[in-house]
Amino acid sequence: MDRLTNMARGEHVFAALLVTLAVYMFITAYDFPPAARLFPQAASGIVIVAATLRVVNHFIPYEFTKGDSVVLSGSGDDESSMSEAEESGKTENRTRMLVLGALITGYILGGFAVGLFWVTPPFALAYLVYTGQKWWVTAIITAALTGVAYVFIVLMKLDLVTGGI
Amino acid sequence: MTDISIVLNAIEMVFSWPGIALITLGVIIGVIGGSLPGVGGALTLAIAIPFTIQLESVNAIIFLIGAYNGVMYGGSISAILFNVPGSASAAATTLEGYPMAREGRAVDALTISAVSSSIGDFLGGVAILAILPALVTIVLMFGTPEYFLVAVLGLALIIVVSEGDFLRDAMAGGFGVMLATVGVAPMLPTSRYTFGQLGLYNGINFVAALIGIFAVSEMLRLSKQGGTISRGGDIDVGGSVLSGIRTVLSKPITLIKSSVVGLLIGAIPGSGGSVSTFVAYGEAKRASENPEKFGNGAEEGIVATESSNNATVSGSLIPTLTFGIPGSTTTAVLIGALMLHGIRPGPALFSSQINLTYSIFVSLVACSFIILALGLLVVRWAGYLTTVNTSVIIPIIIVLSVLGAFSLNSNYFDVFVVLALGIIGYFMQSYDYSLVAFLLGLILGPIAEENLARSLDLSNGSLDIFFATPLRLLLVVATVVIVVGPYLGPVLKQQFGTTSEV
Repeated sequence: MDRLTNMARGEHVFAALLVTLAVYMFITAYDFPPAARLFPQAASGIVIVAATLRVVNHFIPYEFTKGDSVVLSGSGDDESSMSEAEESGKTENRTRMLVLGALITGYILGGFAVGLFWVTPPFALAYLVYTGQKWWVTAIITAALTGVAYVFIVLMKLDLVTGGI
Repeated sequence: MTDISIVLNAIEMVFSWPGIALITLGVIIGVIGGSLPGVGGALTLAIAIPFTIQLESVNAIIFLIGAYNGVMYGGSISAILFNVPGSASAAATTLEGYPMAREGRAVDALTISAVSSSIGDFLGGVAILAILPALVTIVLMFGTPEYFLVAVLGLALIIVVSEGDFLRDAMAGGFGVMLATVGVAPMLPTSRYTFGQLGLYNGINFVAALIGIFAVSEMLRLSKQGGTISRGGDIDVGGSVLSGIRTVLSKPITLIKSSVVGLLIGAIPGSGGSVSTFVAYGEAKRASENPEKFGNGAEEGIVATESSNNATVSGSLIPTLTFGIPGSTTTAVLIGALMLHGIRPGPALFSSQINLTYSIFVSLVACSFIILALGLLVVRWAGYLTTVNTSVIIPIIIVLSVLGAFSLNSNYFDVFVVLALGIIGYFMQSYDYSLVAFLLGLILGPIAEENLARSLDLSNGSLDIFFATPLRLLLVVATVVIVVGPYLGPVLKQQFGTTSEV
C-alpha cells in the first residue's frame, strides 16, 4: 500500500499528466489543417511513444539509456542550479516549500485581483516572518521590494495598482 | 574580408557610454548571481531580461553578455571559500580552490581565479573576433532548408545531452515542442490550443517560460533546504593578490591550452563549462611537473579550470548566434533575450545586423578587463556574498520574477505562465527530466516548424529539397549519426572487439 501511495505521489503521476496532455493535443490536432497538425502530433507522439517505451522497458531487458557510450554527460545543468555537495548538507524541509508554493500562488492570484503593487509587501512580509528572519531584516527587505515594485511602475510605466476586480 | 569600420564601430559602441557601464553592471550582477549557489547563470539572466526591455537591443545584449561572464567567474567564489560551487561549471575549481583556502591562501586562490577568468575571456573573445569573417561566410551559406535541418539536428542533440534515461529526456524535449506549438501556426491562419484566449495567440512567452522554469522552480527547491548558502566552516581570507597574479602569469601554456579547450568544447551544443573545466583540469594535471599536488591546492588546477570556464562563453556563443542552438541553459536564456528584442539567431546576425554580432564579441573582450578589475577589488569581501540566508534571497527573486514577467507584455497571462511552468519545472527537476532537452524543444520546435513550412512552400511540397545540396545531405547524415550513433556505436565496437579477439 505504501509503495502504491509513493508511486501515486511521485514520478508516475507527473508522467501520466504529461501523457494525458500529449494524448489530448494529438487527438485535437485533427481539427487543424494537415500542415498545422504535423508538429503538434509529432511532438505529442514522441511523448506518448517515449512514455509507452518506458512502461514496456519494465518488462523487456533492453535499456534505453546510453550507459557509458557518450562522453558528454553532466552538461545539462552547465551554469545553473544546485550542486550535490550543497544538497547533501541539509535536511530538506518540505513544509517550507509547500508554504512558499502557496504564498507564490496567493501572490499571483492576489496581484491579478487587486494589482501586484498592493500584494508585494504582504507576500515578502509573510515569507520572511514565516522563516523567522530578524525584524530589521524583514523590514528592510519588505520595504526594498515595495520600492522595487514602485520603480517598475514609474520607470517601466506598468499598471501594477489596478487588478482585474 | 571584414570592413574594419564595423570592428571600430563595435569597439566604440562597447567602450563608450552607456555600453561600458551596462557591461560593468551586468558583470557585477552576474558575479553576485554566480556566487550564490542555487541562483546560477540561467536564473540570473532570466530575471535580468525584463529589465532590458527599455534598452536598445545592442545595449541589452551586451549587458546580458556581461552578466553571463560575471556568472562564470562568480561561481568560483563560493567554490573556493566554501567548497560549494556557485554553478556546475565551477565544480572543478573546488578541487584545488578549497584546499588552498583551508591553507589560509583564499586571496591567492580568488586572485588566480579572477586573473585566469579574465585571460580566458580575453583569449576567447579575441579568437572569436579573428574567426568571425570565416564564420560569416559559412553562416551565409545557410538558407531555409538548411535551417530546418539544423533545427532537427539540434533536436537530435537531446540524445547527446541526455545523462541517462533517454526516454525521459525525449519526453522532456517533446513536451517543449508541444508547448511551442501553442498559438497561431507559422504561415497559416490557424490558431492552435488557444481556447479563445487572446493572450495565447502569440504562443507561450518564451521569457516568461524561462523565468518560471528557472526562477520559481529553483526557489521552491532552495526553500526546502533553507539556511545560509555557505556550508563549510569559517575560512580565513588570507594570502596576497600580487602572488596570485604572479602565479597565473608564470603558467602561460596552461592558460592558453585551457582557454582553447574551453573555446572548442563550448562551441559544441549541449556541452559547456562543466565538461570543459574537467577536461582542462585533467590536461593540466597530466602535463604538470607536480601532478601529486593536484587535489591539495595546486594553483595550476585553478588556472586551468577558470580560464577554460570563461573561454567557454565565447565558444558557446557560436552555435547560439549562428543557428539558435543553445550550448547550455544560460545560452538558451540568451536566445530568449535576443528574441525579445526582435533578433533572430541566424544569417541576419551575420549580414544586416553584423554590427550587433561584432559588438557582442567585442563586449567579451571588455568583460575580461572588468572581471579582472572587479575580481581584484572585491577579492577580500567576496566571501560575504555566500553567507546570505536563502530565506532572504527567495522573496527577492520571486518578486523580481513576477514583476519581470508582468512587464514583458503588461498582462497577467505571462505571470500565470511563470507560476505554471515554475511548478512543472520543479517536478521536472525532481524527477530528473532534462531541462536542456525541454529548452531545446521549446526553442528549436518553432524554428524547425517555420523553416519546414517555408521550405515545402519553395519546393511545392517536395521533400527532395532537403537532399538537393551536399551541405543539406551532410546535415541529414549528421542527424542520423547523432540519433543512431550512441546505440549503434557500442554494438559495432563489441562486434569489432569480438572479431579482433577471434
